[in-house]
Amino acid sequence: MSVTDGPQRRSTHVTTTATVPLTTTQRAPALDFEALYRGSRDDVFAYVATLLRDRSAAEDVTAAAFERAYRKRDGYRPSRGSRRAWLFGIARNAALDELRRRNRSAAMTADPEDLDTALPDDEAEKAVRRAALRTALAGLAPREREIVALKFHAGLDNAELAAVLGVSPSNAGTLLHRAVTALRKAIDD
Amino acid sequence: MTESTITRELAALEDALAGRPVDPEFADLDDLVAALREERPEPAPAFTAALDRRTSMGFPRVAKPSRRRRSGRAKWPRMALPALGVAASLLLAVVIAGPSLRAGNDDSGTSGGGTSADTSASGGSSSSSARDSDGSGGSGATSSSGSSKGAPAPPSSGQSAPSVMSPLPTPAPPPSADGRRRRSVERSAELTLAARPSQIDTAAAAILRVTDQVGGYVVSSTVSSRSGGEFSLRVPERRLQEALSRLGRVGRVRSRTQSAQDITAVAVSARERLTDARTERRSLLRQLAKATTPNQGSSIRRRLRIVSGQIAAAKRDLRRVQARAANATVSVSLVAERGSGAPSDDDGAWTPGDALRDATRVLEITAGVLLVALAAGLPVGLLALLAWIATRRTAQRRRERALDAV
Repeated sequence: MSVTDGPQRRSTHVTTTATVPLTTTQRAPALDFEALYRGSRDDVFAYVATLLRDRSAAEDVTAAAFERAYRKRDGYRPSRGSRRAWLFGIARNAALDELRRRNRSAAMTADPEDLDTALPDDEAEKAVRRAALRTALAGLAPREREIVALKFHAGLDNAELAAVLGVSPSNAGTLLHRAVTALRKAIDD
Repeated sequence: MTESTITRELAALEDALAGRPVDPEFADLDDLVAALREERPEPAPAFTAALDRRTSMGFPRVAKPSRRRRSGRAKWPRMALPALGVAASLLLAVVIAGPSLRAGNDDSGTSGGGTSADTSASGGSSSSSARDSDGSGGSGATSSSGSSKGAPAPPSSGQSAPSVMSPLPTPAPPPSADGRRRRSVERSAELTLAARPSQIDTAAAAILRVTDQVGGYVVSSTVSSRSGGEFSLRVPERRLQEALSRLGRVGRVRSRTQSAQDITAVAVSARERLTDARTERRSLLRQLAKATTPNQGSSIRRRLRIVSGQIAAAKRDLRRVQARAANATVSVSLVAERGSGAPSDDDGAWTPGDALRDATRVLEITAGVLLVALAAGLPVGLLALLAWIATRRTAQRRRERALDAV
């Protein structure tokens, strides 16, 4: 079996680079919004999509979050945390606003993979594991799922995680461990 | 689970995320991290392209109504909010400070030697008019004002006094339509002016000149060079305010007191006595014409002489009362004062020193207004800040609740 026969795997740690030139503001911005946007766009989407479990809503919220951040870019204060923590705080508020508005949980619109499709054994095993992971993620409490999304999908470090959630870094580590433990337990079950 | 285990597991997670080798004990964590990365949702190319475009254009405002607008909440321009806040605070400050400032001015107006800052004094007030028109005989009214540091008014403002504002008595109103007799009011004023010792003579001359120009006369005057003087003036009642205004520009006004006394009853009494005496004289003349005996005639003539004397006395009284109402008495005390404002002659010249004093006074008033505004605005601003914090916290709590409700 060649490496190209199996289902296409997503690349990790790869951020799409926008080819559209970004206009800069007329005056020198306090925040390099363009760089922040380029480096965080997919991470923000991944986090919001995991939290909302709705790709369409995640797109709206991601766009709204970047727009809010763009309009508030002069209000960013480095003393309050990293740029990414500031951006994810805005994205989190936008996502929670969306949750509030809907007041319901939405399932991800992505179609589940067809497990009946004939696959090689190892690929079938991966598909099963992937489905189990998805089920486990969906079964997590929203706060735990949010931590998983921030840590593993958005790539925040513990300090940024703490800043976004409004807790201390040590508390953020504790919450992260609880979430991972819950996820492992859900997968095992 | 021990704390050390937790720490090691978290370290293993960080290693897996960083792509470093993971302790075989936590191999499942390495697999979990890899699986989670594979499950990372990726945005659709069409979405990223559209977002890139919007970002490149600086997120232009979309014309369609936002959710907030649809929900009926007006979206204020952010720039307008601070301006509105400042305007509201100032308005509140004016509302709060206005009456107290006015009260303060009124208070200062009644204390001689105060530091009143008002700069208008011409004309009478409606309150004094009302007092004059409805007051019955014998009731007097007095108004006084404190001294002023204000500079003389510019020459063009001939109506304005230097720095005193007080409710001034006005001339009695004309006879009303129902034929009621106009009231007679005797007015008087006392003025204390300060001038530099070297300018006492100039000021004294200016006082005499003003008196002459308003058609009045000097009853008595005592002037001592470099120490001051006393003046007793009589000026036409209808030009009293003009006279006071112009006298006030001669030097720095230390105090000004005005009083008005209703002497209608006295005038009416004198007039009635005159009328009665005349009526009696006419009656006596008729009796004299009809007298038939010498004794009757001589008796009536004696009575006529008495009545003629009464008529003359009544006329004198009436003229005296009318004179009291027609001319006001103005007592001017001119005192020497080192460092006082230079007596500006009647020409009302406005010197650079006057301008400096005016500017200082304006700055004082401005500082006072700002202080009052600050005193009023501080609590308002504090409340607004607390409300803003509470609103933000409430909104955040609602967001968190939304997360729990999923």
